[in-house]
Order: sequence, then structure tokens, then C-alpha cells
Amino acid sequence: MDKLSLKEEADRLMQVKGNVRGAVFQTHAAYIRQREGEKGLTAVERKMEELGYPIKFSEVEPLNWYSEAHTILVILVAKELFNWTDEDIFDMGNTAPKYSFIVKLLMKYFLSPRKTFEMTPKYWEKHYDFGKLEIGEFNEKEKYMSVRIKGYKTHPIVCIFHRGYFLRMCQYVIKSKDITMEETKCVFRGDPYHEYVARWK
Amino acid sequence: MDKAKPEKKEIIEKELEKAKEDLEDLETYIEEFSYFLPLAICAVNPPKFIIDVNQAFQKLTGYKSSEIIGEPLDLIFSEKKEINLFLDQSQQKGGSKIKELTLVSKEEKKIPVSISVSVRRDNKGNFIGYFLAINDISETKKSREKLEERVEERTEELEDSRKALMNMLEDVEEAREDAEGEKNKTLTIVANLSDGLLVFDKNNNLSLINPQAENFFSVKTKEVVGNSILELVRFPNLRTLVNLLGMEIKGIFRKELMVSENLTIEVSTVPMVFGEDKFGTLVVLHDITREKMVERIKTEFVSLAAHQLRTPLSAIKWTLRMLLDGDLGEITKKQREFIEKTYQSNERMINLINDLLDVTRIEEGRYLYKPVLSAFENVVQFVVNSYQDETKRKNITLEFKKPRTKLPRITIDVEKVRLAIQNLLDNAVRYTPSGGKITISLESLNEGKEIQLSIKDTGVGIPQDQQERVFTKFFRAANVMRMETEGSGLGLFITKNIIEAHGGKIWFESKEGEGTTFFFSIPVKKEFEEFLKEF
Repeated sequence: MDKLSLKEEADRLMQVKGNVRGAVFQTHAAYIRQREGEKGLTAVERKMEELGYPIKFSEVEPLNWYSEAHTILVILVAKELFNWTDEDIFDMGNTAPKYSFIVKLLMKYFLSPRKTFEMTPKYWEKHYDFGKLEIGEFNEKEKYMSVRIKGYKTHPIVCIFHRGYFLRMCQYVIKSKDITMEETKCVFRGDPYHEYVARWK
Repeated sequence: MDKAKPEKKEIIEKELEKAKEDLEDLETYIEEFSYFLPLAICAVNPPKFIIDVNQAFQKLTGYKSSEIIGEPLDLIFSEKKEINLFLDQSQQKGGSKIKELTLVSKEEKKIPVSISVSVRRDNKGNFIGYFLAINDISETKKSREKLEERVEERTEELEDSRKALMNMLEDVEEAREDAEGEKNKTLTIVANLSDGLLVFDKNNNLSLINPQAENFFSVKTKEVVGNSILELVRFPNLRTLVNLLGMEIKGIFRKELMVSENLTIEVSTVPMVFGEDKFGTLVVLHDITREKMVERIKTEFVSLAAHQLRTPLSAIKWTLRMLLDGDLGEITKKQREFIEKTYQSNERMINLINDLLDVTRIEEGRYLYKPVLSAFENVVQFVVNSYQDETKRKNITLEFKKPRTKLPRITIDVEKVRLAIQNLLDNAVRYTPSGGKITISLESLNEGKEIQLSIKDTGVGIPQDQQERVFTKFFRAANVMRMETEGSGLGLFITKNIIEAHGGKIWFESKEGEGTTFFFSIPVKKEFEEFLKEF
């Protein structure tokens, strides 16, 4: 199958229903600004406008609801404009919690790995008005844990983003330099949900 | 009812919207506040990961927020165990704590910082993390280190000073011991000195008396030391000495003091001077009892011998006189010449004996015995008249310059003063060659308090190298010895004693080959009366 143009992907993406907090836009903007500077951010805004889905990052309110499709499109636009790899997208996801106002507010749940793990669904609810995050296993002895996202099928690039994102959440509470985050199940691979498994040493 | 539900929903939505706006405003406010806050602050979650930092933190550490958020807090500290322990202790004990640690920046620069930690808790009191304020204390620490260095330096300096002082003290102690030793030595010398010593301080208080002086006056140190010279009069044994020294302790040189029948001492005072300041007076007491005894025996012997000699010499004199006068019959011219020479020699012998007797009387202190109020000018005139014939015969001009105003009468032993003037005039006539001149001047000095007589001749003069001995016994100048055999050498000694016995002074000016002028002065009345009281 031929690769879709960005415009085609954008249009297709807009079919996705569901909203996300403006804080997500802001973390994306912060990462782009950090990597590509203010000009890079302006370029993204311009491209979004070209695609017919304009966004002004400065006008985004962190607690307002915005279309999740738009936030994903921002990732795709940045990837194309700046020739980012999947690694860059992973890093974007991994960096996002550092900029998030909501994350700062939710830090009180980050008391320990187990507590964080237990509070993960609540964390999801604070960001999304669709889909559901469920806790899987938490094995402190074996040093692994898993979470599942159900009812969420948007774009495969988000799977990479989320892998980085969830890794950061683990990095916030697990004192190990060797933590890995793997998407063991994915709706785009025919699984009924996304499953992420974190392991550490 | 259906209407009410939408209204309530609308109100709730409005409230939510308002709360959301407030929350966002609050976020903006916190961000701005955090941005401008000069103090580096970071939020740390319970597992001690950095979850938020402000602008000042990024500036201090060199890490961007994206780089440091999510990293363990101990990443930025050298003392990793200490920072974790510090947070744990802060959480357990509560409150705000401060600790100094070393922050390691992104560029691995080590920055001394002061960490202030505040434990975060939610509304229910559950522990939810920490806030850390990090204060760069590089400058403070530098200042403190400099201060500490300065303190250390100062301490070292003080230590050095202390050592120096200790050394000085040791030196001073050594010097003190030396001084003490010297003092002891001096005291030992003073104590064992055969002479008696009295030391008076500058206020004329007796500060020291040595054992010899104690023996002289039969007093004890503890009784007399500390007393002023005035107070020492209270001690009968010391009274004669105090009278001699006077209340101001006058300068005395070898003044004799008869303490008792068996003790005569010679008293001298020596001012003790340091620089220009007089800090006391030393009174030296030398026992001359033995010398006085020897002298007395000698004088007695001379006196006895002289008396014994004078009697036969007088008999010889009168016998020769009778021969010369022809009382014993006619004598030849040749015989007359021999007898006249013998007579003159006998006269010289008698004069010598008389002089010796005068000297012995002087030495025995019984020479001055007939003081009477007299007109001094008449005394001088009498002597001058007795030399008129002789000076004419020798072709010497004799002039007597009398004072313009009348001199007061003075108390003198006329016979002795006449002898003194006679001795001086006799020398002048004897040693002035023919054609010379002798001038006698009498004048009043010091507003009439003194009478001064001078006898000036144009004689042979006294050699410079012998002038010091002019007033000593048996002195005769070398030049006169060559030209004249007569003279006992006692005349000036006797004259000096006569003048000084009157409280006067005698001196001379002389140049060999040009002449000599003898001067003497005698105090008038009061001074002399006072002087006489001393005898």
C-alpha cells in the first residue's frame, strides 16, 4: 500500500473521535521548541494551517479539551518537517511528562512504584475523555509491571509516543538506570488492546 | 423540573469553567513567580526524582528542565548518600532543614550550595514529596574561607606574637634574674665595703645604709631607712652627720667628721645622676681614725721637735746679737762678717721652725684663736708699710690701691691675716727682680658681702706644670729653687689655711717670666659668723 500523504493522513486522522487536555498540546510545543526552536514551532503551526487544521499553541489552555486527532497530527507534522525518526518520537513521549502541568498536579500519586502503578488509570482519566487505561500486573520481586489501554485506536505513531511516555512515568518512581518499556500488544497488530510492559533491573 | 436541571448543569459548567480559569491563572502565576525567583528551586517526588525545576535552578546547574526533570536528585550532588539521608531525615522529623553540600553542574563544576528542604504534604497530611531551595554559597564560602584563612593567619600571627612575647618574657625573666644577681652582688659589695655608705633618693629619703655605716653611727637599717634627712635628726648619733650634710644634702668632698673620741670619718657626697636627672645622693663615709691618729702623732712630734729646737736657736740668736752689738767685746771685721752670716742662717732656721709650728697648729685645728672685729684696710696697710724699705732697696715699685668707698669692718684673726698677706707680699718682693712692680688692690665684691685682696707682681711667675701644687706643704717652684735658696715652702700652705679658716677662698693667675697675681676673698660679717658656728 502506498504511503499516504500527510494531508491524507491528517484528513483520515480527523475521523478519530475523542478529546485530550490542552496540556498535551503544550508538552508537544515545549518539545518542538526545545529541539527546533521557536522557528520550528512556527513552522509546525504553519503546516497545520496548510493542512487545514490550524492550531495556535500560545492560545491553548492546559485544562481545556481539544481534539486528540489534532495533537497526533502535530506529532506527524513535526516528524515530517524535521525528519524525526521513531526514536525522536519515543524521546518526545519520554520528555512530555517533564513539561506537563497536569503531571505536576498528579505528582502526589507518584509516591512509590506500586502506588504510581495503582493510580495509572486515574492518571489517564485526567488526560483523555475516551479510552481506558487498566492496570495489569505489578511484580516488584520479578521487577516488572504492565498496563493496558483499551478503546484507543488512533495512529501507530502514538504507540511509540506512549512507550516513551510510560517509560518516563516508570523512571519517575523506579530507581534504576536500566528500565525498558515494551508494547507487547497493539491494536494495530490485531490485538484487542495495547499492552505495555515495563521491566527493570 | 426539566427546566431546572439544565439551569443547574449550566451553573455547574460555569463554576467548572471558572475554576479551570483560576487554576490556569494560578499555573501562570506560579510559572512567572518561579521564573523570576532568583533562588534555585526544584520539586522532588518521594522516590527522590526531580519532577520540576525553576529558571534559577537551570541557570545554577546548567541543566535544562527537560534534561534534569525525571533524573534522580542525587545526580546533581557530590555527596549522594548525604542528600538522600538528608531528605529522609527531613521527612521523618518534619519542618524545614538546611544543609551545605556540593552541587555538580552539567559542566561538572562543583558549586558549594546550601540546601533548604521543605517536606510536601497533601491536604490529608500525606507525604507527597519535597521542595528544595538551593542557594549558591560560593561567594559566601569564599568569603568564609578567606575569613577563616584570615582568622587562621591571624591566629598564626597571634601564636607567633604569643611565642615572641613568651620569648620576651623569658628574656625579661632572664634579665630580671641577671639584674637580681647583679643587685645581690652590688648589695654584697655594699654590705662588705669597708667604707660606710648611705644612699638618699631624690627626695632626700634614706633608702639604703650599709652595715659599716650602721656601725659608725650605732643605728639599725630598719630604724633609719625610709626616713627623710630631716627625720634623721631624731637619731642622736646621726645628728652631726645630718648637720654636716644639711637639709638639702650639699656637695661635700672629704669633709672630716668626728663621730666620737675614737672615730673620725671623712664624708664625701656623690650625686647619682642618670643622663641629666639626679635620682639620689650617695654619701661615702671613710674611716680615717687611724690616719688622724698617725697625723696627730706626727704633728705632735713636729711640734715638740720645733719647740725643742726653737729654744736653743733663740739662745744662739741672742748670743750672736750680743756678739754683733759688741756687748761681749770688740770683734774684727772678718769675725763680724762670719757672725752676721751665722745670725741670718739662724734667723732662717727660726722662721722655718715658726712655720712648722704654724703648720702643726693648723693641722691640730687650733690655729685660729683670736677673731676680732677689725678694719681690714688697716691690716693690709700695716703689712705694706713694713715692705716699703725693702722694695725701695730692691728698686721695686710698690703700689697699694685702696677701695673708693670705706670697707666694712670684718671679724678676723688679725695676726694670722697679717701673716697671710705678709707671706704673699714676701713672695712677690722676693721673686720680683729690680725695676719690677708690685700692685696691691683691695676692693669690695658682691655688694659688700666679700672683701677681695690681690697682690700682683711682675716677677718670675710660676711654671704652668707646677701650678697645681702651689698650696701644698713644702712646695717650691723649680725656677725659684734655682735663683733663691731661702723659703721653707710652707708660706702658701699656711696662707691658704688662714684664708679658708676665715671662710674665704684663695687662688692665683701666673705666667712664667711675666708675673703672678694672688687673690683672696674673705666673707664679711654674717657669712663669717655662720662659718664660725661650724667650729
